[in-house]
Amino acid sequence: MTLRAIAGLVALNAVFLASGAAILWLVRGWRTWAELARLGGLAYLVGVACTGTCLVLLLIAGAPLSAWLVLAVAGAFVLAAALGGRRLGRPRPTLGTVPETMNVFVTAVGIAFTGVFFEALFRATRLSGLYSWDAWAFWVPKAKAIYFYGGLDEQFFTTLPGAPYPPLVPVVDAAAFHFMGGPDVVTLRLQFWFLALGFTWFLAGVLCERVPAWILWPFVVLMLVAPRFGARFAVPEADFLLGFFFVAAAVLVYFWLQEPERWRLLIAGVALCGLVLTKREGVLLAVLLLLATLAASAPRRRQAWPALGVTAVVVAVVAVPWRIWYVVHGVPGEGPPSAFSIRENADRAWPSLRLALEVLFDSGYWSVIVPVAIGALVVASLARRWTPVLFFGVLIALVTLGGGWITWAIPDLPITQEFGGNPIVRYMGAAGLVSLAAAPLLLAEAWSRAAAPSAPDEAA
Amino acid sequence: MTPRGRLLAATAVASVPLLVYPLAVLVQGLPRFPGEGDCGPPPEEGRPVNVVFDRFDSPVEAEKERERVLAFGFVGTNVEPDDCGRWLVVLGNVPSVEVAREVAEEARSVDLDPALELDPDG
Repeated sequence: MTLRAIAGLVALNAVFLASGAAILWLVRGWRTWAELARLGGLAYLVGVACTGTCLVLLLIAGAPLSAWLVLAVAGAFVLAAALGGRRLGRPRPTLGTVPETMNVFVTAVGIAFTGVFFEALFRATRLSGLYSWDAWAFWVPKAKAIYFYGGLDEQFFTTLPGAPYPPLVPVVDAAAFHFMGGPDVVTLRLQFWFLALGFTWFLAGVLCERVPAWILWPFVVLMLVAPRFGARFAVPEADFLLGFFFVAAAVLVYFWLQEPERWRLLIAGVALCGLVLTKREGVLLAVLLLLATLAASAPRRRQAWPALGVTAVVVAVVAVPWRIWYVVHGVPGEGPPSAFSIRENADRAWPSLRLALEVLFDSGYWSVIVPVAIGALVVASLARRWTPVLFFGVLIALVTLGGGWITWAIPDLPITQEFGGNPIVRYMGAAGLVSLAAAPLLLAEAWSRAAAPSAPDEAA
Repeated sequence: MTPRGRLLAATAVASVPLLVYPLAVLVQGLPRFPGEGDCGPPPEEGRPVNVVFDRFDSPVEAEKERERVLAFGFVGTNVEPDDCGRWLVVLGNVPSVEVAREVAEEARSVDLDPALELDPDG
């Protein structure tokens, strides 16, 4: 609750941004400073994923967390990227040009609205208490345990609720405590404000590569005013970071499908590493994203599938150490008891799926995001843009089926949207966010087709 | 409009609201940063009181201090977290401010310097 604590958080997030920007310079280079500014949100998420993943693996190996360790890990990324970038002959960024008039003014209005929203959210967040149940029951206590005891304290990490949940968020929280100078659970919410700001920056900065500003910014604003997003982004839980990594990976994979530059898949892999270490649902979401990508890349499977296979193996290797840690420490597994037994709980199958569908279409959570995304799927189908339709259509459907599967496969979960009884609403946030990212991309594809009607149809 | 003029105009469109909003807020007064005093509300007559011997960032340090306080005979002293993320060495649920003052007086005689706060759990 002090200026020093806020300054510490600014420093920590600057470290994330710097490490991510260095990694992106290594894998793709920066042509202009404007490009660096545009992709700053992506750089930030990459920094959080890379640094967070390394810190989790180091803690599992027994290293004690400290501010110096965070600086050392991020510094190692910057140094390695700088040396590697020089070796690859990455040029220094130049000034670049100003985009066309309409885009630049719509973008300016969008930045103004979004910026004022985040300023207001900062004020509301700065002195808010730790009210949400999961946050004070285990997310923040785990972070405090890491802060006070230096590592994954066996007693805390095996007895608190959510014991098998991966520790990336508590590790980021504990790093925030070190940079703030103490376990200030009030100011900690600002760390989640930074994550939300970074994701919004990512969404606007990356999507504008393919989406005109007049299509893109209404969706950014829609996300900020949606009941389950926007004002709730600063709740110190893992649900939103899970969604951020998932959408980042999905958007990068989609761009890679459209334009197979290797760095996009590489960075999607980094986001997936963060995803599987953020929440146990991350493993499911990573598998679903892989399935949707396999389906959408089937026409060029000879080139695409081996690369996807390598990415999947790397993500699995990163996910395994945490699973070994909790098995070794006697924590019951994170998988549902009747995961693949179709006969068991057969009477729960339809009610579980219906629950997932009800949550998906509940405007009380995601406003009009999902109906608009489905409308965008239809419009893009009419424009014969099959790759985005197939990829996002399959992905949204799979995530929804995944939500139904979770409720069905865990018989202890009641068929309810109650937050305390069933995680379906938290989980379906990933479907809401990916629908939000998909809609402008689909509409932009349809618009580009309408603007150039002589363009050839895409092969399905 | 030249590219430079376009960029300047767009920057103005984006930055004016971003500056006006915080300035409009600051006109109403500087932001408040609650201090340690806000972590423990003052005692109130007729409500249970906490006799707080000290606050620590570390529960280990707090436990050491608790053992020292217990050695002076203040039985019932515990280590508890406060609302600001720190650890209290506290004798809680003292029935009145008057009794708490007597406890504090006794503590000062053995070089402890406790503060009286409202017991939020009382």
